[in-house]
Amino acid sequence: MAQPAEQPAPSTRDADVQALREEVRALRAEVEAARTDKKDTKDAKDEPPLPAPLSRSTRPLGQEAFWPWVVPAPGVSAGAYVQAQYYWNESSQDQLTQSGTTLNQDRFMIHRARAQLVGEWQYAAMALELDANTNSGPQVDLRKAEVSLQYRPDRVRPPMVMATMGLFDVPLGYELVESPRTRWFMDRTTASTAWFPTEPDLGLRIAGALEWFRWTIAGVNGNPMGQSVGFALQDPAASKDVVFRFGFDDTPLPELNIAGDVSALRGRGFHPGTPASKGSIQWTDFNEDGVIQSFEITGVPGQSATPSQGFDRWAVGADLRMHYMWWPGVLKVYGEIILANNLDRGLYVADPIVTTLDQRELGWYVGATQEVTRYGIVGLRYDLYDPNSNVFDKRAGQLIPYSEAIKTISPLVGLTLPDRARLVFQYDFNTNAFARSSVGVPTNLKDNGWTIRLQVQL
Amino acid sequence: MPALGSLVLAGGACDDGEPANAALGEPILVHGAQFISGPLPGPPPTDGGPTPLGDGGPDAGVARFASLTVTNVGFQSPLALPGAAGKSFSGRATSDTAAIGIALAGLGSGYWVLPIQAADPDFPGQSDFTFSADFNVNDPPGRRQLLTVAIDGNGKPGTQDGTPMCIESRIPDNLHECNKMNKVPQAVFTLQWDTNFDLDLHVVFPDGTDVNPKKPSPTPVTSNPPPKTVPTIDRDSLRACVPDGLRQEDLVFQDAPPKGTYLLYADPFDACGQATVRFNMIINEAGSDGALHPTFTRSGELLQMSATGGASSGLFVFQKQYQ
Repeated sequence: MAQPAEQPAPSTRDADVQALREEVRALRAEVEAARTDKKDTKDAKDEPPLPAPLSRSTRPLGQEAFWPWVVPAPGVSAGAYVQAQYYWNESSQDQLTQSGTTLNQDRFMIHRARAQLVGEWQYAAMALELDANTNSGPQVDLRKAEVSLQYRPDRVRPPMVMATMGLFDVPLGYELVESPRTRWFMDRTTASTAWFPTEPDLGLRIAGALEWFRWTIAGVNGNPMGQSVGFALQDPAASKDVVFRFGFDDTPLPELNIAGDVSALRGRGFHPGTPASKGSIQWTDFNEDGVIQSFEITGVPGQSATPSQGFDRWAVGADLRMHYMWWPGVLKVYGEIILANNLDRGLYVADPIVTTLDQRELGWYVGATQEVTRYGIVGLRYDLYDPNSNVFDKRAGQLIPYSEAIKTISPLVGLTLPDRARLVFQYDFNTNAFARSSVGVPTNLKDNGWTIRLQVQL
Repeated sequence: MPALGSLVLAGGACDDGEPANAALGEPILVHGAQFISGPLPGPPPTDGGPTPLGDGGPDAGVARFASLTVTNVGFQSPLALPGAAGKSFSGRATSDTAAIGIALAGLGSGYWVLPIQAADPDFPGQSDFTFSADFNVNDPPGRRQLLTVAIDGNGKPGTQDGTPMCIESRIPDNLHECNKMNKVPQAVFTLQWDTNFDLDLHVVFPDGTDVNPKKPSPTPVTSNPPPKTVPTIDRDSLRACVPDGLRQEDLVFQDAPPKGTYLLYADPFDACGQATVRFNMIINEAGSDGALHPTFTRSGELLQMSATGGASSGLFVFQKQYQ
């Protein structure tokens, strides 16, 4: 007689059922968890995206797009940052210049305190940026006032074509358009600040991006803000400076971004005329006896007005930069070279009308920054500016060519709270030809400096 | 990374060079020259000054000097007023000179260097130098030597040359500090101030006459210069707000002041855009040693809102009695 199949003991069956129940329960929990994650992700996607400049996710390799390649959040967005710093320079003196300005540079200052309002719509865009600082005493001015019409079929990519009018950064090279908020080095190089004392100028800009290709054509007044002579943000001449910039920006590998441009500027500088003057009497104490004598009095006839004149100026340059993500963080290596003629408006101001000699200028730099995890940064930059390659020194009755080149080596180290705050220390080793040695030969004027800066941003 | 290290080390080498120094506190400020801290190089001047070497060779008739010699220093006047600007100097040095070092003997913390100029065709073997210099308003009065030295391209100096000159006193003393034989005035009332504020000295004489820069003597003066027996105010400093660097007015009594009471005022004629001005009223009198000495000083401060435009004598400061 066949024996019925052996039935598991009731206790064993119950145990199996219990195990199955546990397994189902665990699977249910897993499914619930997966659903919750999915919902969270969906919720996150529903949140409005952060403004592009603030979100690291939009610049995984650390680079920030500059105008007009910025892809702002739709609608109106705002941003702000403050750079407070202490600067020290070994050439500081507790004295005043002949014109009454201070020679002391060792001081606390607000280098930049900027508030930005950006509007981004389907076919139109605007950007407004105000700056307050204490660099030369308290002052507030406009740094960006752009209004644009654009065609941006892909809303996550730069516009295919964009026409902008207003106050914008002159698109020559890379330094002028690089955002001072994300630039690790304290300021632009000597050459860039000599040619463009501040970045913005008034004009019309047309630009576009097609895949990796970038192009910009601009016409500007040619009198940027902050120039030491002339008509800042005005224009005494009808001619405009024309700027071309063509380049590429590509990410061939997920961890690598490379970009570069060639750019050129052509325009007219302005030599101001002089107003008519009345005749006057001039006394020169020839015999240094402190007494006016007839032979020491000279009549200075009235002078007629002299006309203003213009002169040609131009610049050509190229820049290249690379961002590479590797295990310590993002490495940025970049450089730029610009050759210019009569473009200096801030340091050795060019005006060849009287001298009839064009001022040939050369500036270049190479730099690198390396993130050390997400909380640290180290960097080094070398820059050179030769303000006049035709300069001569007069010694012992002979004209001897020499170099007025200013060279700076700038190492930096910093700590950062990503996208929120950064504390950076930079030392500048400066070499120049501002002094004379004990034998009367042009030599370096000790001019090294350092800066410690705290930046916090919205 | 070694390349980065090399760059940083190269930057460290940039520390070589001259320190920035406007040298505004130095006793002499040479335009266009480099100030260098430390003593003027080279041995001190010899008593006789640079003397030509013997000749007789092919250069007969042409003075020859030892190498690195300042052969001549010239100027219009050996006198310099403290605070004076743009006093001209010229000179020559042997043509092996690359630069000239300049200092005032016994004063200051360094010296000035400027490159030598072209060879002088009238003086074979010598090159010219010229410069203009400002003198510090606080330079002590008295005889000084203007030291110059020739320096070659390797920094080797020659023997210093000392040219006598004299720093005048800021208080009019008839050049007594430069020539002790000159007799000093019997009294000088001085008003000095610190900013470019048009301040005027007013002195009310015993007979009630208000002497000030607009009426510089108590009696009409018809001769130029005014007779020394008449007390006279020497200048109208900051007249029409034109800075003169002096900021000082003096009423000079060559003879003893007439008996009576003198009222001294500081008149803020025009603020010239300045917020305040601080002043010293000083009375200098001839001492038994034949020199002028301050016998009374009083300080004060005036504000922009005090400017009178000449409507009054200004702020009363002091009264001086002469018996």
